Amino acid sequence: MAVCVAVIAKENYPLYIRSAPTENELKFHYMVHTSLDVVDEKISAMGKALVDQRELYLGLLYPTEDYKVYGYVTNSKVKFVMVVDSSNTALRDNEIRSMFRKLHNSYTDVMCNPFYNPGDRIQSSGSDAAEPGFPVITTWIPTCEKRMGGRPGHGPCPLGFPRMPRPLTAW
Amino acid sequence: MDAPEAPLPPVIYTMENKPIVTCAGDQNLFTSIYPTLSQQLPREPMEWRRSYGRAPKMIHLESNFVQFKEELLPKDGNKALLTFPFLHIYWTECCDTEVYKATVKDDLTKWQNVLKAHSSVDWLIVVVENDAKKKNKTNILPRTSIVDKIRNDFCNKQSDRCVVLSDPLKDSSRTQESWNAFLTKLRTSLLMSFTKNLGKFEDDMRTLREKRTEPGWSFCDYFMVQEELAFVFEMLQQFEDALVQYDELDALFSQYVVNFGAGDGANWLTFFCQPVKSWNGLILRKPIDMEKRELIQRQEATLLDLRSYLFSRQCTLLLFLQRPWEVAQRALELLHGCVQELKLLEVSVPPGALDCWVFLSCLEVLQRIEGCCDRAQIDSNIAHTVGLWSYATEKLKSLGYLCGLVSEKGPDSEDLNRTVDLLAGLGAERPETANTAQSPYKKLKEALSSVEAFEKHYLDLSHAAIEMHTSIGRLRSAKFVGKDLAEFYMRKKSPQKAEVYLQGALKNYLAEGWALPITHTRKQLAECQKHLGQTENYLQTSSLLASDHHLTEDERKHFCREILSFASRQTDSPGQKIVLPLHCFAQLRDLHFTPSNAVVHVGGVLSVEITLCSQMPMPVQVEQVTINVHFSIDKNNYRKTAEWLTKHKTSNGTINFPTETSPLPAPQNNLPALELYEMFERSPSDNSLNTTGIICKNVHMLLRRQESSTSLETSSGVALEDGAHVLKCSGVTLEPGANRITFRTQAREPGTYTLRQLCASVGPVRFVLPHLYPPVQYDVYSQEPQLRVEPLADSLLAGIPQKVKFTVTTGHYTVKNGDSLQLSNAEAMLILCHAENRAVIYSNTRAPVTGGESSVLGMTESHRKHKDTQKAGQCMATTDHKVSIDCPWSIYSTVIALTFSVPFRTTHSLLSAGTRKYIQVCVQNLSELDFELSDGHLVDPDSNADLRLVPLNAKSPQTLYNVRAEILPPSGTEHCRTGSLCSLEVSITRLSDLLEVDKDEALTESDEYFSTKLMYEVVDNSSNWAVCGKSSGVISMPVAARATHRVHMEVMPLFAGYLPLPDVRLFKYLPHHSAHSSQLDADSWIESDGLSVDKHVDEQPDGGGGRCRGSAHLASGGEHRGLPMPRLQALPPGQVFNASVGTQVLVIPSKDDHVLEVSVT
Repeated sequence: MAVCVAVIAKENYPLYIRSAPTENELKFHYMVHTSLDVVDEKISAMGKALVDQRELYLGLLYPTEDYKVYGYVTNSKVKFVMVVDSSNTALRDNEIRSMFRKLHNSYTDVMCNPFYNPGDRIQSSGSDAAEPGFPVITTWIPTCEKRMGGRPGHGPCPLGFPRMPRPLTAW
Repeated sequence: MDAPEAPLPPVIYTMENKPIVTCAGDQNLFTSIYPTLSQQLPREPMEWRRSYGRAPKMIHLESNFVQFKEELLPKDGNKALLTFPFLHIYWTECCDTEVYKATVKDDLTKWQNVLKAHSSVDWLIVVVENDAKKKNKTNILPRTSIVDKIRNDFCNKQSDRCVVLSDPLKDSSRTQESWNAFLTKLRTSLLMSFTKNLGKFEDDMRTLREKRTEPGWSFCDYFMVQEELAFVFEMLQQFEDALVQYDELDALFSQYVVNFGAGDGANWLTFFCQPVKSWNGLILRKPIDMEKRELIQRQEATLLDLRSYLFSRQCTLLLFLQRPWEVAQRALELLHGCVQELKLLEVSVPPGALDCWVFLSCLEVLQRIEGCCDRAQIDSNIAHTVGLWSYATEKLKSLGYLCGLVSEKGPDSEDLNRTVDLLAGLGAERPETANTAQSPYKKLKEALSSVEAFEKHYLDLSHAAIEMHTSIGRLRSAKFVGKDLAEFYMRKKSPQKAEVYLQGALKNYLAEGWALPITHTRKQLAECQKHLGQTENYLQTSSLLASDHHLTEDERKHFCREILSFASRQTDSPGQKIVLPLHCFAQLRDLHFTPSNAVVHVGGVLSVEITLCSQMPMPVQVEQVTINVHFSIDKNNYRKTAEWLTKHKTSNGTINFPTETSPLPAPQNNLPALELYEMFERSPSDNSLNTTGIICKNVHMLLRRQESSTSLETSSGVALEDGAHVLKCSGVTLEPGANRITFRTQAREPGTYTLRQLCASVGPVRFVLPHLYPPVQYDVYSQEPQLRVEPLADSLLAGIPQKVKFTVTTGHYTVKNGDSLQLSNAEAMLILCHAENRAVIYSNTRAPVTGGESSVLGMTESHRKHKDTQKAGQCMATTDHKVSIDCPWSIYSTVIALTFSVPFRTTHSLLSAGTRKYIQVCVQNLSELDFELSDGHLVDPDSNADLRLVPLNAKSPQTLYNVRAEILPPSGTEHCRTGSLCSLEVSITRLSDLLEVDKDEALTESDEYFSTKLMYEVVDNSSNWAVCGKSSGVISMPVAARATHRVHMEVMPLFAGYLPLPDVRLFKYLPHHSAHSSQLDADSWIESDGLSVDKHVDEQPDGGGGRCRGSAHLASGGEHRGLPMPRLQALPPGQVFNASVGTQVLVIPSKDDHVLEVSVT
């Protein structure tokens, strides 16, 4: 299980960042932010590889004494960063990959949500970060409050809008 | 011969070892051959085919030739590989049967028996043949016989075990050949022996590994076995294979630790769990650390010992393989791994011990790598080493904190005790580094020795790490190390040094919108600024923190109180104001005017209500809230405002402000929204869609360079505006959240008032919103009536009649019946006024005031020139004419100046040719209007009889008719197609009224109405078109300007492509000299149904192309009458202008499929 999961916009600001346990939140924020250096390096090293041949999983970004930081980048340069406890030896590369893939699916769902404005921060409906399923967040619904605040033209947020069908993704 | 007497104890420096080959038989012979042999053997590589599907390798063989002794042969159970003799060679140069039988055979037999006893099967017998020797003997046998005998006696079925080497010391081709054959045999035998013996060894090793679950199994024993294999590979220079052995051992050990953590403990592992007592770091300067190796062999190694030894071997091999950067990467993994493993195994480690170990190890690895790479290589591989640098920095930092070296007071006795303990665990410096000035050991010892030394070393390391991170573009990491440094400086009470690092980091976090790091860094910065006494910056940071929702309520209140207490302290000494941005203190949400259209008359009362959302966690008493207002007496009447109002203001008069700079600034919020439009580009020929796309109309806004200094922490940008016009509201308490504040003002001067700045004052602190956006204005209008006079065109031209518009804004004045405007004007300006012209009053229903407009000056407006070319650069001269207007509402006259431009420029010159003089007068039109110059002549004012002026202006041919033809595709289709009927529209326009040239036979007059007869004819010389129906006809053309005849006929394109239009020719139709010609002529044009007179309703086009009559119809019709033919006269050149000459029309091929019949005979 990851201790911190972050979705970071193309412009490198966090769209979603959540850690468990929450008391060390700040440390993880710093860690994830610093890891963007390596993400940038890896992305630029990836260079002009053809889009469909490109590996989205960036692998281990850097290890620290206590944590391992893994990265993943979507084709639209949205980054996923996951921090895993070093002592958690059960997590192999394959598990990390599949966690990222699930995260990507969830993110794709959010993007398909008609009420989500790309670039807005993502609110997770999975309120308890310590839930066993962490970090795989099942639904992210932008809150109505935010909608109403930002754009006066928008009508009230319909309650319980239907979830969009999952798009066909190549991953 | 360099054969060691006894190869035991085991070799250490494996690189200097070579596989052992024993030599038996004639030692003198071998000694003579040895130099050539040892030189020739490694010269050519040999392919080594490997077992277990491993890839074959090319290998250069070398050997250590030693004298054969029985002790060299391994006894059963001896696993030593390094001392294992891989091949035994028996050397003889015997060529005498007697000698052979007497001594050599016995010796060989003995040798063979010893080998058999040790079941050693890797042997070779070399018979050296020497011609010189042979010749001396009398009882020589053929060479072959001895070899055959040996083969017969010893090489049972393996005749290739006996090799002949002929004249080895001679320089002949035969010698060379024989050497080559021998060397090949030797190499092959060696490799076969390797394969066999190593394979056997590996099998044994695997068997041993499989027993690892058995109780008595020892990792250390197994380690020694597998390392032996690694040594052999290293000896054979197969470093890759050697490394694999160590990596396998590494993985095996790691797996045990993991399993141990999972509760599956192996008892041998408990030994590795002994408390850490020594932490002297990695030693990488020797190929083999024998001390540690012995510890492992004796099963006394700790976890750190084992790991250190393993890594030192991996490091040595990686460096042999020239992969220093992998060493760095693996080192970091190792150090992290060890820390984790010690935790997992719950090994007791004194505090700081691991930090020491890691610090020493990092530096050792870095120095080792630096030792084998040049500067350029190191500089281009910083990415690989920077991790170790940062790690070392981090560890030194925590050691410093642990030992009390990072404080103002310095270490206390407890700290010193701890330091002593830590230094004790380092032991004495190793001899390898004793002479190195900058050895990790010395560095650490020095760094822990005093506060100053620590500072020096820590700063050195930190700066090096920051520099390295920066140089490879890892700015975030650099900032992060910088923040540690700032923390250090804060502890050392040097806030001025900390500030720059904190600002740098904060800027980075702000730019990328990382909320928590922003808050945290800001908190540190606040402390720093407080220490530095940067009041303004501190207050600004405090206000940002007080409004920061990521802090606890208490922390926010603390920072809010900081501001308030500062404000209250400063009230007694009114000094400088402190200007801070408003947005972090409170945010302007909306603004509402009463009256809601924000238009008031002079003296009226306007109230402005704003909603200010306080960001503070507690109520704040604000002395005054002011809005700075900019006043402009503008030409804007209320109407512009009204227009603006409908655009920008919501119906209830409330203006909403975007939530400016949210507490988490995301970079994308600062950019304007994309304005995208669809774009379609159609082909000009067939109107098909060529390109489609999306155009961004505000690229200039989006691609604008982002100002890098958008830091919110610098308060420099905010400037207080001082204006005469201010809206004020005093004594406001801002509660957390929304607050409504109302400003009242009485309108004074008429004009537009723009709300500029919003300012809230708390003591000397001013929270300022420097710009209100969207712009907010209110207008004050005067109630005095106003009169405005303006031309209808852009400018007035002197000399021609034009219209001028009078606009009266009545204001409070009511227009009474009979009110008049009395104009007194200068003589040079005439007022052309129609007697019946009265002012029409338009009243603007929307506006509270009525206005009147009237056109006073009237004449036909001239045509504007259709000038595509830019205006001629010349400026027109202007003259001003003043008009004085007496208005009924005022006793004073209003004087208005009207500016007239002179449209012409005239130049003249006198030219001579011989005795003649020519006067040239040029009149140039500078205006945009078309003027027609006519009847130009020069007059001599003195009426001098001697002067005769002869005009030279040639009469320009007058164009009388304009002929325009146009081909239109059938209705409902876009293009003409071959074979389908299209309509040809011909319009003939008379351009002038009756002229002298018209007076001929064709002219007829009735009731002062003149008309002339013309015949048109459509001819297509290039046979592109088939004209259907009549191709010619006679029309009676009214002789009046702009009289138009339209003729409609049908044509059919015969080809596809861009076809020129058929020619339309025009002739004068002169009647035959006959009395009743007019009657006939009338008939002749009336009967043609293909033509229509102007304004005649066009015939409905036929559905299909069925109506197609022969073009001979007209001609035959004419002949039918049997009347004399009228005369046709061509119009003189210049009288007809063909407007559509050169035009082409696109005809596309018809889509019909044509059946082509082909007959085959």
